[in-house]
Amino acid sequence: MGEHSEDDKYNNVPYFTALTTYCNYAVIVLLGHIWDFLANTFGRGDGVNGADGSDYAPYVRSFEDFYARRVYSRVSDCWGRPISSAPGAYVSVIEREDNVEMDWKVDLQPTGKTLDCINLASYNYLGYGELPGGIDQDTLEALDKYGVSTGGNSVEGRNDILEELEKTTADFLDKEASIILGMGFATNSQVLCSLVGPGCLLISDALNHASIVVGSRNSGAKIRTFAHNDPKSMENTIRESIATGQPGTGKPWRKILVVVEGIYSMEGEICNLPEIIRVKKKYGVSLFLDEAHSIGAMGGTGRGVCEYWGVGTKDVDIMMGTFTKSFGAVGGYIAASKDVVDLIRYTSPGALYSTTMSPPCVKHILWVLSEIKGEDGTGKGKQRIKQLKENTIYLRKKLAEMGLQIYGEPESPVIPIMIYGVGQIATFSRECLARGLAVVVVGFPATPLILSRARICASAAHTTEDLDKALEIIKHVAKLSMIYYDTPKRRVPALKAPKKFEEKVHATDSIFSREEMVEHSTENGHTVLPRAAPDFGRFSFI
Amino acid sequence: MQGIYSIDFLTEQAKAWVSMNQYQHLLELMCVLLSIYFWLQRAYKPKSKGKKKLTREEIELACKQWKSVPLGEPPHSDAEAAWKRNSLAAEYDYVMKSESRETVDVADAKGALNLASFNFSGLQGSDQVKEACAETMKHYGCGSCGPRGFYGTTDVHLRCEERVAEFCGSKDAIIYSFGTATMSSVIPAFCKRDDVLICDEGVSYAVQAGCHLSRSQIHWFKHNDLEDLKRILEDIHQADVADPKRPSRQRRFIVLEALYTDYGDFAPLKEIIMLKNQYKYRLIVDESNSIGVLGASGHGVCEELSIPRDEIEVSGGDFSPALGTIGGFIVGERIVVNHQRLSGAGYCFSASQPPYLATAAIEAMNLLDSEGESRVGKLRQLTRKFRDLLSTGCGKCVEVLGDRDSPIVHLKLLGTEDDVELQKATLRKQKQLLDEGVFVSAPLYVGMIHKIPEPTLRLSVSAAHDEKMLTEAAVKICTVLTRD
Repeated sequence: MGEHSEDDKYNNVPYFTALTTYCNYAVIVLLGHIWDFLANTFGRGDGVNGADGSDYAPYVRSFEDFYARRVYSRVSDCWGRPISSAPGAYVSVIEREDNVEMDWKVDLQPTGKTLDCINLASYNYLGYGELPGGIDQDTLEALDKYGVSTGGNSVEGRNDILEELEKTTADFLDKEASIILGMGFATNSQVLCSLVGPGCLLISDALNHASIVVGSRNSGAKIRTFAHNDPKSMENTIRESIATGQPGTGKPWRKILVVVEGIYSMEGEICNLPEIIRVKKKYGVSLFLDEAHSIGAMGGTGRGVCEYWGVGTKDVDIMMGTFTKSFGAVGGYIAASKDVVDLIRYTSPGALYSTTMSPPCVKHILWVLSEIKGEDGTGKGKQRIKQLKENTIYLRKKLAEMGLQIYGEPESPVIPIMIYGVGQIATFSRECLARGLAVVVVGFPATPLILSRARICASAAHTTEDLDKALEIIKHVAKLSMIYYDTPKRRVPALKAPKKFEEKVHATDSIFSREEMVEHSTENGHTVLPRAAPDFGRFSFI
Repeated sequence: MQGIYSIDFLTEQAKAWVSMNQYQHLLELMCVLLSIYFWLQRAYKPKSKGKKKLTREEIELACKQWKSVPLGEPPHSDAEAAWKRNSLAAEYDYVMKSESRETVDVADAKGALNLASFNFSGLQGSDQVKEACAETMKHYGCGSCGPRGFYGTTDVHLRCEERVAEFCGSKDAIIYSFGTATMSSVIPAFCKRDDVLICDEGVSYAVQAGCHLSRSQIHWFKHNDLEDLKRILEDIHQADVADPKRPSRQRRFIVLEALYTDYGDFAPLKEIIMLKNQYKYRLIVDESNSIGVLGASGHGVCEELSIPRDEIEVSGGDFSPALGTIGGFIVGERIVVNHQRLSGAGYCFSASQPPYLATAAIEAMNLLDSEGESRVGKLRQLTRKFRDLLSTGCGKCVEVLGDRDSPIVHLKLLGTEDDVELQKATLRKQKQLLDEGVFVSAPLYVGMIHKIPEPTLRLSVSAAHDEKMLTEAAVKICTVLTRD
């Protein structure tokens, strides 16, 4: 169950931190405008607004442009850091520096040096992204035998190993059939439109991933959201929607599809599946579960949140997941009953227009699946799942003891550490890197303005020594960036959640411009569009 | 002092007011009270029909009565029509048992000639590419385990971006991890509500999805019809007269494919570039199919037309057809590329491409740079020959669609106009052709595109084929298609 609701998250922000964070933003924006003014006045203003003085409209809207140049560019070195190794327990990060004077961090060039860092950033939950475990002979042979790509779609471009993978995946999840696509993002964004459409209703968690948002918008179905991980809110939304019917005509909905995620990648929270299933059954709506982060990582045998909660996959109509994370490959699957999979295979753009998964990846996933299922008889896969759980619990325990504010259940391998302050994001990221630790930091607009955070992902690849070393670094850096928010001394007083905060959250972090938000946020008092890809989504998650 | 501000005037007025009779005063008082009464009333809101507050019982009843359409059924009428056509293909099962290159083992057919998958430059299955990929794989593993922003960028990706920019002759480039997610991310990154997209009716799904996701005003012009395009441009130009500042506020793009996947013909780019300069539009060109086909050495439309890459503001597409790998690319000015790094949904929110696929792209481009001319030359020669053979061989009952130089050949069966019947016949012919040892594609289309192309057989010529193979194939195709 979500231990912390969104309101709690606001409640936990210390007053002083909230104040300084808002001031931070104010100063940054003010300075930015002063720079723009000076640049425009003294002649360095070419292209300041993306306009080249011609008859064309600028490529980029003025606020986006301002944000990218004057806010994001100050800290852009914290994202997109290139690496020159496999994403294993350790990772070689290529050092970059800015080679243009005055222009902050806009032209980062590699210095030629690499930094060996402990990798708490990659989604390498089971450690299959790593060498030597990451590549086996079969995978290389598949490259030789089947080439880089089949060049065809899911109807005419399947090969025998892909067919085998589709069967294996369906078996693994105890479903009738499955379809495999070559990209996880596309598995949501190009498939939802074949399941729902005009006249249907898609009920989405407020913090669902951008790919689901794109898919929902693409489908033409009506979209409503419910409060993050709150089955009560979901139930109310369903009841109200069924009772009022389709807007305008009042006709009953053709289909109602509830879309939730297994683990929310920015919150570290596991979805409250048993309650959601209870509600779903009560009203006879369909359920779509996105297990991008939980498949392989949760449950005793890696079968995701269903296993974690001890509910059958039969109760979830559509199981979706990706092979990018725990499996260390690429692509996504949809496992469901045969008629649903056929519908997707023959009517969804993901199946009809996209190239199928690259054969070496297929083989790699087959190999990982056989290890997880224990078919190879070595028990290595089970060991990895156990190791991941131990590492997760260990990390969470130590971080909490340290006095850091973290979210999510004890077993969730996604661990957000609250930073709040905007300046501290960069401090945390840079200082960690300098000490040999790779972590992901996230700020506005991917999170609400004052809920910036760092995120670490546990992995089975780490030994206890690795983790201790990483924890030591985090301890130093946390002290340096002053983010010990959960020590007894600092626990009170905290900021109260602003009223109607839901709307506020959505207004700040949506992909859509403000006008669009207003238009969509009023219906039935629900914010119609879920949290989406922000326009400057570099900060965000996958 | 004169006028209404003079003291005298005001005193006079006051005296007159005091001396009014009591009824007049009463009337005034009532007016004041009435206005206070109205002022205190709540604002009038017209009651909407649907906003009636439902009782608990009514909601319960509605919930009890509501029944979902089965999830496995198409959600709406367009999808249903598509399902009717496409599900016919479920009868056939084409599973490849070998690598997909110039020949392929499909289902029971061994070594069938592969005319189904796009492989224009014949780079699929190249040993040089495979060797390079294996090296990358040994060093970087299989997947990248993260999005580009979060330690998912490897130096291979950066090298690939540089290489793409160099290959296309542009200032900067960005790579996406999936072909069909590329165009559908780029267009919404730049175009928002109020912007204008003028779009060819024939563009493929990825581009159309991008247009819809952007929520811009979309104007469709008839496929490859310059007159229709001109008409729309002129209409918008006329409307600008009322609001002359609009063009400098509104982002305006013309959206095209250089070589249309679904029709097999080229866009009249030269004329369109003239038009877009004249009317001050920017251009988005999907180059998925034109790399490796257009230009003397396969560098795309700009080489073909001998224009600098800057003339086309945004171009890019899928790596798959020409380079034989998976992923997508966009080239353009720095601002175009950098903006996508923050706003391209498929870039920010998706795991990055496995590094070995980026290596494959680099190697493929290297090969095209060194052998491009011979490969493109051969492809062109084979295409013409093949098309000639097809149109002479089975002219009566089949329509050969597409431009003479286009390696994408659509064959439309004549004789029936009903889409479902035609689809059925097409799929049957596809099977018969495979039995003869020729694997062709019978593309299926989703229901929610602007204009659904007619069912056809799609053949794609590759530089890896040779004349003998294609001549034999043409004979077989003509025999199968002309027999009943």
